[in-house]
Amino acid sequence: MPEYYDLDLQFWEAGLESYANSLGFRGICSFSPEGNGLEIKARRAEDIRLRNEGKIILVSSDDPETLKKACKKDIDMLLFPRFVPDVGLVRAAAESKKPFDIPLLLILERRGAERAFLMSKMSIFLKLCNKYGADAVLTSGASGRLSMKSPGELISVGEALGLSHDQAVKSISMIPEYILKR
Amino acid sequence: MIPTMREKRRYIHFRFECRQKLSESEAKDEVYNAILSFLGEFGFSKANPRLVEFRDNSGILLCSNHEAQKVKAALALVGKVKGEDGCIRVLKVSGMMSKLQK
Repeated sequence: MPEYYDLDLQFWEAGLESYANSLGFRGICSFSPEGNGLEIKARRAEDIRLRNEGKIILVSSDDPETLKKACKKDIDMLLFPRFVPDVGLVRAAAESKKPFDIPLLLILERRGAERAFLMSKMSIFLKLCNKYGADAVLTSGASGRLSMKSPGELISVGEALGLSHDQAVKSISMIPEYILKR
Repeated sequence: MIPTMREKRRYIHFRFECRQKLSESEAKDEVYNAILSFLGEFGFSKANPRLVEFRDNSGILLCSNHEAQKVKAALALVGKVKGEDGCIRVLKVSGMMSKLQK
């Protein structure tokens, strides 16, 4: 049975790891200051200054060109919150083997048509990732315990977004494990 | 109806994680609305969900085998319960209700 990881939590509190274990995760990555991750919100390429603190580095930007430049640097994950199907960006990510973060909190925060539009964009983006061989990591992106999801729930939502069962399992087990061991 | 024509079902054991204690009718509303808003009317009719048991904020939902993953996704995407922060946690899925009641 694979071991599951949630690589995008936006909070940290005492006992979080044991709570994640009770949900079925073997490891987590939190991007709060106390956590083991570092999120760089970049508006332009110059904002990506890497500090070697042994943390998992996520670069988040609305600008595809900035993310393309980030692919050439020593980072672990990319987050493109607009999920616009940019072929150049997906190709660059596939060539440099940088996976895209797909946080479910973005879906949870929205309602009705806005949620449907975002899910449609995510699903097209994931299809593009499949086509060009870029990896994707399904994460909860949780800002509290209530928005954390179990591996089974992440897999179900992944399948609803168009991934096959095996791809959804891989995106929360093998790919995050590779990132953590790197 | 011959057994091969019978629709295959799945039982989903879930729990509400929220401050309030919900009654069965409130739970039914929350669960059905979540599935309806995620799958739409057509998807809801295909999933054919039914709340078969509910006690102490946890319950068992019956649905079509083919649509079980979608129903799980619909429950996972609930962010508010009765207007307050909360979620529905899917605990287990089984083809037999007795396995979930243990």
